[in-house]
Amino acid sequence: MSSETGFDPELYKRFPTTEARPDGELEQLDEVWCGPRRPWEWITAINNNYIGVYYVGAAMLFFVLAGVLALLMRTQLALPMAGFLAQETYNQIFTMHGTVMMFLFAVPAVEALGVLLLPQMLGARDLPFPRLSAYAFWAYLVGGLCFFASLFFGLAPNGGWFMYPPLTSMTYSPGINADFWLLGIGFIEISAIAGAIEIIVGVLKTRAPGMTLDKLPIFAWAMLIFACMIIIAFPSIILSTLLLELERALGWPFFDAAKGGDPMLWQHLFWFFGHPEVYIIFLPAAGAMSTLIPAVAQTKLVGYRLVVLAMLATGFISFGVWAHHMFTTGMPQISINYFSAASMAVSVPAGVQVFAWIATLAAGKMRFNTPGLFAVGGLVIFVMGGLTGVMVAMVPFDWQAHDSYFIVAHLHYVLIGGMVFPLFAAIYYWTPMSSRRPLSERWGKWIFWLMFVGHNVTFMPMHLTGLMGMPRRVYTYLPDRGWDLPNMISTVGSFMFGLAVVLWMIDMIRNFRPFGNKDAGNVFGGPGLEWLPSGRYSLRSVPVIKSLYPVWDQPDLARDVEAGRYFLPGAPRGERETMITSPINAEPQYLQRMPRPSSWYVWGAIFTAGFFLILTIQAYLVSVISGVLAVYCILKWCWALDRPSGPATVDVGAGVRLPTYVSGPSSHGWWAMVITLIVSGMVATMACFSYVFLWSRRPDLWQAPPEIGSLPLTLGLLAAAGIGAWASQGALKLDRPRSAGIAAVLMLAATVAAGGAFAAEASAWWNSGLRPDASSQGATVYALLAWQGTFVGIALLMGPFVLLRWLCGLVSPRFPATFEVVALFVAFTAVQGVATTLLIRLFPGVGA
Amino acid sequence: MRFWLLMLGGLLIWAAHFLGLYLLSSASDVARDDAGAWNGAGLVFSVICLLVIAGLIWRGVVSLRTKPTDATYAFGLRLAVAGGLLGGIGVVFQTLVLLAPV
Repeated sequence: MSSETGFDPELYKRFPTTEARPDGELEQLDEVWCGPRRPWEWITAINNNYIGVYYVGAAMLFFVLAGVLALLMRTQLALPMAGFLAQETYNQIFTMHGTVMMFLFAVPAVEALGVLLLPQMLGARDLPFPRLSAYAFWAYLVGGLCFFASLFFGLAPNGGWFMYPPLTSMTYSPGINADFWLLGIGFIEISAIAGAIEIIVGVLKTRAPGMTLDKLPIFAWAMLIFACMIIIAFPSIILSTLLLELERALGWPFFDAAKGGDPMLWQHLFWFFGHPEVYIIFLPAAGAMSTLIPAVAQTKLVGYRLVVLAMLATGFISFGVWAHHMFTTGMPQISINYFSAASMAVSVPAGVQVFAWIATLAAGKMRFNTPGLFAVGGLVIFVMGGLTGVMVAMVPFDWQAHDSYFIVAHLHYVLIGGMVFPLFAAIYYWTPMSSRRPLSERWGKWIFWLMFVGHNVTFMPMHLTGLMGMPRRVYTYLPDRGWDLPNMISTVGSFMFGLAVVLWMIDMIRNFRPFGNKDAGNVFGGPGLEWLPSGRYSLRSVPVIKSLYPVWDQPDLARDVEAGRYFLPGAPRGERETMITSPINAEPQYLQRMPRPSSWYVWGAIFTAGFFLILTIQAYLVSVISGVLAVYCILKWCWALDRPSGPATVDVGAGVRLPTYVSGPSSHGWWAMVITLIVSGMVATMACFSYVFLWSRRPDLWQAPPEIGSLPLTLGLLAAAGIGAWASQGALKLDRPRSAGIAAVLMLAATVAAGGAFAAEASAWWNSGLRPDASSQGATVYALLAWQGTFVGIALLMGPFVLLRWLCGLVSPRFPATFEVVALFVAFTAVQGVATTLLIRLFPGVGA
Repeated sequence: MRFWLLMLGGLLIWAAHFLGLYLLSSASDVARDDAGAWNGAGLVFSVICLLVIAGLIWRGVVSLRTKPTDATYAFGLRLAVAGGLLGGIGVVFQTLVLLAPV
């Protein structure tokens, strides 16, 4: 395969350099990447060394809070007919336990691990969008805490973490508890997707030179697949929460069978997110295991390529198993068989990883330190959960075990073995990277054994209680059913687990000392770049990677990196910078100017969380104000983007010169926009699925679409929008005196055309007499229109934004990056509009 | 993009096959007519998917026999072949469902 970018790999031979570095270079680097100096700067910090630690800390806080809820539940269930918790309180607690663990702990925790570890692991100064990471974190923390606080006011959701309608419809859940879930999840979705964009672009574009795909650390592979899965899976939950909230707030009957809706639609949409979610959580943890097991065994991972393939296969197959949660719903038998087969098949790639870990431990010399114990313990527990998973993948068994405590046992074995134990292994393994002191080995071993025994004592008996017929989610049970003893044992086990977590917290308080200039070092003898000496700027210089295990295989690497003998040994322009490389071969492409801290993204995050949460308590005016303020803050943040300064190229070491500005497909911003549009496209695709699905349930209720004569106007305007956006880019590239102004006006016209198309289509449907609350057809048609309307609204904000930038002299053929991403967005809006319009106009035809 | 498509081809075809079979079975459910005919369509679709996977594996093996000097390209080819094999097994496994008595 030839070079991706035209970069000559012979240039790598110039490194490590031999000449001495200039005086003051390291001091300048330290100054540029300095930490917070005033109290406020601890909040506006954006460096991954800070945000990553905050993020992991917040995720662990939610883990502890959700764990406390678990202990309350186990206390209630310790004895039959206990009165420790009222039924309604219990319902809120089990709903919040599941929701907080899945949405506020598991996904953010692994994302946090990525934000913290990836820059050092990849040899980058930071991930490419540090403000986006900060925004994601603050939206998550503020929103998450407010969401959790709903419990103290009796307003917490109470319909289970998967919130099935019709239980969660207005008829059966009339309060605002369900709305807290539906809207509260909104900001978490935004936060997760923002983090995923950061991780995908980070892994593909900010690797050290020479870190080709075959030398990509296995954790980075896992994070890449994880983030791609978020991009595909989360749109489904975005759509389903939107639809249910629309039904609850406005009476649009997506799930109301009386008006052609179908509660099964919720289950399809929810589990299309919900089952991949399990692997979304598992894969980064598996990546961490595959990284730390070689260090524990002091040997290379057995079957690196097969493990990569297994993770990719897990990612794919996990999207083919969603309906195994729905075996008892009366789906067509043949569909059930497909999902059963896929559910069994997904155990194959998981098995490949497990065997690779066992083989690595066998090939090396296992050291029973704390990370090693947690890794092996997690492996044992996960395998047990996997085996019961194969059992419930078989339809006849699932029919018996469905909604019983057997499932509770199974899912906890999978999630705790597959995610929690690896996370603790990761915490013990990587703490020395970001703390002056490692965590205590002695305490760590106690914590492991308490947790391992506590887990098994808690959940092993639940297999039996389930097989004896105890259903999930009951707040109490009658005596003399044989459930008393196993429940008591489970409760004792849960408190052992809780004690382990308390000891871990004490260990953290005693030893965890982050944010300093020194760290404890490579305590466990790890082979990755993250173990090279580093500061707040990450590595002093970015090495040329020649091995999958650079610290083990490249002698003198630490010395040369620290001496500044590789790429980017300083801050050539006196600013925060990182090197952007190509996605396959990691060839240097350009130098990215990194932002400095400000407060706009923090306020943007707070107002975003505020918008969703205030909406829940139906203070609509305040919510709208919060939303407008969020948009204002984000626009202020965007206003500062794309302002190149200084020389067009700089020397990044050994005479290698890189440009300081690029646009188009080479730029990191373009990639981020493309990924964002994939998310949007997925939401639209799932909405189209919902439209067809609901038609298939009750075709008799569907009326004819508006007269075909109104269609050309909509399509014509959309075509004008798309062509206008495309032409505006072309106009800008002409680089003539008035080309910037013409381009800005063309862009504005394109956004107005998109707005006109939306108005024309919406009025056509309204005039046809179809109303959104009348039938499932009305609900889905107007939902698709509303989704398109949202995009048109954003485009209508972007048009004047571009015009304003032109008036301020910020649109130029020399720096077209912002302009190009806006054009991409407007063109996408037009294409999405054409696709959804054609579907609702032409399917199922002119008559029902 | 071609590199990614080659590397992930087998798994992409598995996904397309799964989606195709699911859509066919859903269409059969909506149409409520002869399930055997829909199963037949599913079988034809499965054979097509298997042929595409076989082509992908063949392409990967042939390229690997030339002993490419570029390690990253060779890595991608090996993943393509292994992913093709895994995808192929997955397609066969899913297709067995169609052979069950209607």
